[in-house]
Amino acid sequence: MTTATVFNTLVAMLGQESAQRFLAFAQPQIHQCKQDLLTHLQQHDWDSAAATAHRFKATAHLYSSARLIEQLDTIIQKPIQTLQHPAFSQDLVAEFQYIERAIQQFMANHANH
Amino acid sequence: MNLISSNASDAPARQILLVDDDILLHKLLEEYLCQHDYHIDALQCGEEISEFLQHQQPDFILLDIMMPGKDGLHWLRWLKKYHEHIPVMLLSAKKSAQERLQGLEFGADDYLTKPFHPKELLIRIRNIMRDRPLANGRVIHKIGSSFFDPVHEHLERDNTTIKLTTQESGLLQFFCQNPGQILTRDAISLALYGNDYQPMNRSIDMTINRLRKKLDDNATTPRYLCTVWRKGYRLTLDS
Repeated sequence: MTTATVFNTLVAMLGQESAQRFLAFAQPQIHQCKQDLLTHLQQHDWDSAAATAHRFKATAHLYSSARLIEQLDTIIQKPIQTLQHPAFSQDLVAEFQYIERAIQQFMANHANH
Repeated sequence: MNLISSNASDAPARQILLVDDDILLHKLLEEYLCQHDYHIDALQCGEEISEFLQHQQPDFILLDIMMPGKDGLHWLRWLKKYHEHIPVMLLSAKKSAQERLQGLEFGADDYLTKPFHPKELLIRIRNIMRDRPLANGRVIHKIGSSFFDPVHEHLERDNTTIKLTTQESGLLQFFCQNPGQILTRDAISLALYGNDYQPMNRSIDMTINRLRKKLDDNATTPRYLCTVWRKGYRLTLDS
């Protein structure tokens, strides 16, 4: 999926201007959510990680990332062995970074119009 | 008699209170519902509801179940005890039937599972608020699949605003004030223009025809704006 199509659902839902406003607001929140999840996972605080994932999941589908939703579901279900594996956090960071880059590109493209 | 409110555009939007600790959801619903003539106030926990309601009366409350502090089911019981008239919709990420049944048993008007499409939320809110007086005494009329807000002179169908002329809006307001009643051309003329009906003047009939089209009513066998032979017209609202 290209970054141009990542936010199709959101743009169809809100329109271009509203989608831009929403993403500008969401950018720091998504970054904070990533940091919180990583901290909770590193500290083996599974309940706090699950609560953060649970809250973020309500809007995660707006970024068209099925992979991220799977990862959030895994955190909510708390399979400790999976969550402890370093690859899980690495994949999670990669997915968040992909979304953050897509938002930056979307904002840059539309700032020029 | 002038049916058109001079300050209709200044009338407040419908007020919704969202109680949820997810600020991204706040922003999403604020952006979406604002486009559909709703104003959203947001609180991040139920403990703030009581103070909010001392100063404002929302038309509708969206209440998350999982929140910091006491949960949404606690606040639902509190709302139904002290503010019974305000409709409440529960929001939850859990799909458990038990939680949903408990919420409905405690008096929730509806229940929506996250994640949801804001359009689904909008449709459900409209269904609950159909013909229910708003906190400021206003009513939204459902005419077939269209919704008419007489205060804002706003007609909408399938999330699309249908533009009304001043005359069409005034006539529809007059019909909505007298649903089910036969309105003679004399009464309509008096209400709209302040004078008696002139038989040669076809403007009322032409306005009725245009309104039927805008209401998606059948011109030959109208279901909502019906002609009563030799008497006048009658608006039938959905029950």
